[in-house]
Amino acid sequence: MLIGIDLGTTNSLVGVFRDGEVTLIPNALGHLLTPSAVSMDPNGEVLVGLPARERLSTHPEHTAIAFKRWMGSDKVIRLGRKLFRAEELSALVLGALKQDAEAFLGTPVTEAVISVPAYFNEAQRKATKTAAELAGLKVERLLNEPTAAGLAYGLAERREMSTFLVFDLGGGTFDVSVLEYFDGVVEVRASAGDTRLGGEDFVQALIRLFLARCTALGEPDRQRIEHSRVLWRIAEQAKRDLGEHEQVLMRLNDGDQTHEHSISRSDFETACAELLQRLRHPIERALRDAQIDAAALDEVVLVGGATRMPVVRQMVTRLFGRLPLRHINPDETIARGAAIQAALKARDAALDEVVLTDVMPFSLGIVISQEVDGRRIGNRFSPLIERNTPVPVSRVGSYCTVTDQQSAILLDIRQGESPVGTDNLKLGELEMKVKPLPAGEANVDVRFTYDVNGLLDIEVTDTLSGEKIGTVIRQSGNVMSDEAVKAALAKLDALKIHPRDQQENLYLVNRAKRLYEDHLGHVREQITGWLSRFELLLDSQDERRIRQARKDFAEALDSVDRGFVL
Amino acid sequence: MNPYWQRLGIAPTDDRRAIKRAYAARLKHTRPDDDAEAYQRLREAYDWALANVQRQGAQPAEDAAAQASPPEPAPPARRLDLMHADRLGRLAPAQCRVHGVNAGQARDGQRAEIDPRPLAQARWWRYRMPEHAARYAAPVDRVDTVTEPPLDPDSVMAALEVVRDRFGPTGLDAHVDTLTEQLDALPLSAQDRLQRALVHFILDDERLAPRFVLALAERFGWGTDFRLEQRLGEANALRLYARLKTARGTPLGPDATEPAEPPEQRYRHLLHTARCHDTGRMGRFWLRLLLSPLALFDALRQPEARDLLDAEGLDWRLVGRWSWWVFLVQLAGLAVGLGLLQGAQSLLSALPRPVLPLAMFGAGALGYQLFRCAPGPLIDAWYARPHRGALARWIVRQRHGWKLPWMAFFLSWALVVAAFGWSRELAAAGFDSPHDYALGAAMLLLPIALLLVLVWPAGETWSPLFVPIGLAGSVVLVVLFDGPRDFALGAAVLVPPIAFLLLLVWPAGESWSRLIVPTGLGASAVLAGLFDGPYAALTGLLAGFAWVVSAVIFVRRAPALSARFINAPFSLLLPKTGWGWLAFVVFFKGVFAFYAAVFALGAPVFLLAYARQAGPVRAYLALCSAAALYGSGGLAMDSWAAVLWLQIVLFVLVRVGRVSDWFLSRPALRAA
Repeated sequence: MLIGIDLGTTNSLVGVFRDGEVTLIPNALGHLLTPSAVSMDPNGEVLVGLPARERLSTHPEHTAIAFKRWMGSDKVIRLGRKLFRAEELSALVLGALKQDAEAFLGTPVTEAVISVPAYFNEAQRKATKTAAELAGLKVERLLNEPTAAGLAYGLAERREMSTFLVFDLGGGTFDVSVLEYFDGVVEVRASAGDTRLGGEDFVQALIRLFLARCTALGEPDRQRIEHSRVLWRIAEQAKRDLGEHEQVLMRLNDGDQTHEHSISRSDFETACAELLQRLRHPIERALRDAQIDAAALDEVVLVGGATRMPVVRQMVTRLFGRLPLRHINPDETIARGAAIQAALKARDAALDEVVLTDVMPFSLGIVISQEVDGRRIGNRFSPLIERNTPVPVSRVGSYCTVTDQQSAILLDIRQGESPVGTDNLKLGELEMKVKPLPAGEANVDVRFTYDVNGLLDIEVTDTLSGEKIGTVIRQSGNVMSDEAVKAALAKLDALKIHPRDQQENLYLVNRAKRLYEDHLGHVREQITGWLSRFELLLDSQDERRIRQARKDFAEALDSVDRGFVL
Repeated sequence: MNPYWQRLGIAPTDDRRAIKRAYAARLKHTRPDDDAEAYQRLREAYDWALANVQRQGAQPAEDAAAQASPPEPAPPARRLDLMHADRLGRLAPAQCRVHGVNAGQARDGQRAEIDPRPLAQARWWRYRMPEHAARYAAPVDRVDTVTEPPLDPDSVMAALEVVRDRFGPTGLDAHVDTLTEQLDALPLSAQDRLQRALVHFILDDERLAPRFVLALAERFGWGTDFRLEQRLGEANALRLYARLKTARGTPLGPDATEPAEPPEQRYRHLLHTARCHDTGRMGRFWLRLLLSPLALFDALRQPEARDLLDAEGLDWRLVGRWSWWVFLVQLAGLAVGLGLLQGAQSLLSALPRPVLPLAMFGAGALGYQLFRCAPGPLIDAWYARPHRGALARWIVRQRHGWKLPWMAFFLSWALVVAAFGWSRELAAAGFDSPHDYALGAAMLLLPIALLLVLVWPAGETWSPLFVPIGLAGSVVLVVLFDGPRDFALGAAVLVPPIAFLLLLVWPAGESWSRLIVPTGLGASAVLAGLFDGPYAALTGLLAGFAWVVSAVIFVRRAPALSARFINAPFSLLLPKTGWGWLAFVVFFKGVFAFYAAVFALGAPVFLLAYARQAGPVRAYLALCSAAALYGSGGLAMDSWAAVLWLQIVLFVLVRVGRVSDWFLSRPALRAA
């Protein structure tokens, strides 16, 4: 069975296409959204999802969130005494999703379509594949997130012809895609985005706004609080509340002090004006690349949890001069699209008429030295595949030596849009021996082949000898080698993961602990009372009574935090 | 049939919809996941077909109809319901509106306002337009900007026009930032409209400053945005691209934003001269002609100047003819002056032939002048002819370059060296004669200079050549002459012209690597001179001084100067207005007349004194150096010759004036 997974920065979802429609798979807690969070408890057992996120404020140094931002980088995240790469943490989340799917479907799941931000680069895509491999999933296809959203939207609408723009502001990434739907063809016209812009940045803006109001705080305290998870949680809560209320109260208990400030919607808007400004550029570029006027768009589709924010919706409305569509749940759209793609891949009969064509969102090329008016200028970027070319694509470029008796050519493969070679992101390099000849006489043909999964294949041919070199790219550091993958696999196998059936109890206990920290006085006493009673019951191992108690406990906790689930 | 149509499986059509339908049908069988190559071929055909429709500008009726009436909000029956029914049930558009945009208003009645601050900051919007200002300052009562954008393109354009009319085309420069900031506040569709209006605004007004145009080009991504052609039509898009190209080609220096002078202003010297002739003020006419025949000629080379005179009914042919003749007379005066000088010098037997270096520079100046002052209309006629030969085409290409005048300069130089030096001096005196230094230097200078002139802009790849050239030059000099001292003196003669050449052709912002050779030569000249007694030291210092002056000029002025020299014809350097030209003549010719006087008077005294102490050889070398230094300024070449003929011609002029006065005042003529 092929499943579709939306591996998000803050939340992940899994879906499957069955009987002609998409079904999103609930996790052990019955939620569709599984937070992308991993935590390690004192016994060295691993918690994934909501229970892990509940531990964020109580055990910040044992909990990791938003690690998707570090995919494809060398950053190591510390959980307690153990060190993890982002790939490994993502693998734990994927593993949990896989278990959920297996429990739901009743069959083992080994293959998946995973969505990634369109603007993910080669290294980040490889990292996602590695993560899936570590979780025991074979990635059938990496699907760009806005494409997934467009697929879900386009198939849901099924107009004869429509052109629409998908505005996907997730937790950590921002993507824009212009899509066209006609006769069953979902065609991505152009994609653009910003991998470092998402809902998290709005939370950070709120944190800074709050701290700016706390004038009584000294600098060391400010630093400490700024990085504390407690304030992050409060800001996240406030961000959500601002969606419904004109004004929210942010309260932070710091030791014996209490900081309390009221933030209005317009304050928030001013604080994130710069972020909103950054949203414009990718939109304009996507429209320009797609060669479509803003007025010619039929719809603007908002996707991603962060588009729930009124400031963002307002900005989109203002920009396009029309009301964006939000009738698909923005959190779930991508997972639906991924599930549809999985079904397409599996040739589901219900989707026989549907074809998806995607584009490559960035330019790929190599660094060259160029002669301009007889002057040699180094470090130029020579793009072989231009951005927004439909994939799969294969392009050849011919390059020659620049000095006499040159014996080797170094292909420095890069991705990006800057004319300066080294300003672009390095993907790897490839060295090739050539026959020493006068400058310009030794030629190589470089063929870049970019497949539908967004993975690059390079073939270099010496035009004189006809000799070929395949993809022997020396990766630039931040991609895991095969040995590293094996080691990571062993490491993850050795980890004890909390059994799935205890997830809900764990979640409630951790949530109660977090609420205890957040509150004071009589609420604390109440929570301790509930918690002790519940823990006693857990010891009794009476399944029926535990179930009843769990329900009561959850309701009691809901009364404290208005049922807020991160 | 075109293979692309075959791949799509349809007959050639300009119906977009049909192409899409065919593509979709084919795509079902060649999915990108299955057969990448087949898909690429299909996609290529599809892209080509769509572009073809675009090219033909044929908007299919269906598309036009679709644009005229936007699709119905209610979606057609879904064959496949991928979404939860309950979610779909919740998305009644009206509800969406209340929830999505006017949420604040609906809930608590509080009005969400558009922040008026950026509008208030942009004070220029209010300029002379209280009605606009009032409109922008007034709070917009709804966030919903669907029906009422905060700014509308028309008022933006109105504001731009007001600013332009009030402050001139460059006045807009100061507002570029504000304008782009305001653009960001507009909805995309309004931006598109404004963009279109701005393009026409730019195309309609040629005088708009490049900075304004380029800033807008950057903001809108013109040049990378293929939608422009759809929006503006191909002709307008091409005009815009041409405009951008010229804007980019204009150096953005401090004076780049100066508005171009209107032709009346620019050619007023020519205009006044012609008017003087027309109104019979002949004295003024001749004075203008005599002082600046070159400027008049230069101006007449421009068709717009000729049109200007034609429009006023003035005879530009007359002005051109007379200034040409006047110039020829002046040249003849120069030749006579040189002859006189040589004759006078030959009388002074103590002076060992100082004519050679003088003649060298004189000939160079002559060649340069000849080229530059060739009758404009003739040259234009020649340029306008179709040229088949490679050489002719090359010359046409060089029309506005700097190479041709310099080639003329050095070729004349070569001729003089050949005529004077090679035949007579070299054969007669052999290589032990003292002025071989200068001769050798001059001969060496020629190939180097030609090489430089021909290949200099080839840039960095040539830089390795300079050290070998410098070394070879030293070896030649050392071998040709009898010692390091002579070499240094020869070099002293060489340095200023080389430095000057460098100064002219140096592109702005280039590295210093090319200064190595002249620096080495100059330094060795100074050192050798210093080690060889006070008089040689003076020579060395002279050369060093020339070098330092050139270097200082280079450092301070090179970017602007060389940019001008490389980008523009020589004539740009010369003033175009009557007063400017007069000032130019008075200043430079005055300065050089002073030097010439000092030189003419002081040289014999100096040389005599010098010859008594150091002998005639040294004296001659000092003269060579002085002459080299003297000729090293580009204007000096012009002015030096000018000074000579000016003196002679002014004398003749005065005589002729008196003669003509006398002639004109004859009673017989008066009666006629």
